[in-house]
Amino acid sequence: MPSDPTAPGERILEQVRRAREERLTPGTESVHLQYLTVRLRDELYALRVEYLVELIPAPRITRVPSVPEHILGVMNFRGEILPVIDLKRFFSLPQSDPTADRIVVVVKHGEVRTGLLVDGVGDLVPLSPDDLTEEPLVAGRTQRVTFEGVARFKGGLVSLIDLEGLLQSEDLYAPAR
Amino acid sequence: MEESALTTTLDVLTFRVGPFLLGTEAGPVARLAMLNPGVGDCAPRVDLRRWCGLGPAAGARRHLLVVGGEAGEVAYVVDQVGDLITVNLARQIWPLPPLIERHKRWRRLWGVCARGDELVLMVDLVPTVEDFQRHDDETEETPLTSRGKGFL
Repeated sequence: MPSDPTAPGERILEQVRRAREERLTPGTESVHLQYLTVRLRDELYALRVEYLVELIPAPRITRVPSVPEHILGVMNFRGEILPVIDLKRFFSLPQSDPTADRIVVVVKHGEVRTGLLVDGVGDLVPLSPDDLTEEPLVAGRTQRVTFEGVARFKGGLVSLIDLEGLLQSEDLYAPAR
Repeated sequence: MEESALTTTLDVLTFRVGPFLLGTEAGPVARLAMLNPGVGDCAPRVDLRRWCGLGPAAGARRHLLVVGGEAGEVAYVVDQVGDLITVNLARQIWPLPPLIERHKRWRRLWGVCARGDELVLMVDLVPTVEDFQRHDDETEETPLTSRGKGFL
């Protein structure tokens, strides 16, 4: 089925597809890794695109009782029930306008898909180890296991989320402190 | 003729506790009633708001959902009784995602079913003999240990 070029995130996903194809093309290896920038309030974060499955406008999310507040609930993603994690709550960031349109970034690690709720998505950017800075990580209770580092981007800084570390983090399963 | 697994259905009674939309197998539900604090009930009562991590309900009319099992009946107090729905086991019921399964503090939560474009969290409310035996053990975290603590 042809993709809908007007669907949310389709422009970025098309770039993701091209980036993945380039990675598979001999002779195009690069030290750069592709990241998708996402916004949490006014702060910029980035996720490696290799984990990215889809970007969708936040659907109806069913709340689950007696789970940590960073686990927002579950959603139906094409007949598959996915947990949705509120990244702002996980990083202990203040909540923003609850009526604002948000995006769920569906990621896949191993065979497990998870939805990550963010305030917005930005660009697909190539970053290399040279782009990393010595800037301190944002304040967060899980910073050692959930960030690869901080990089310079468009005159500012972007925190690179270690998605594998995040999804395997014991903090993901622990009550908020 | 044996029923095909693809067409097997389950009757589910939905109900709400605070913001949570929950459902339970309808078969073991013995009766529904309005909660009347002045009238006693033979069945021990369990307030599901407590098990959903919520505070007491403020002034709203609440309902009793009496569920029978091998050990007897338990009257669960819920905020609102919803619909009786029939769901297809193969297409409309899923286990909990591993993240939720691993974390859940309410062990009776077991799955998710679809009602239209909504999801209903499935909970097993059938009381067991073990539940009643644990009644006097205050360290056990089962709904029936709440009996007699005066939270209603």
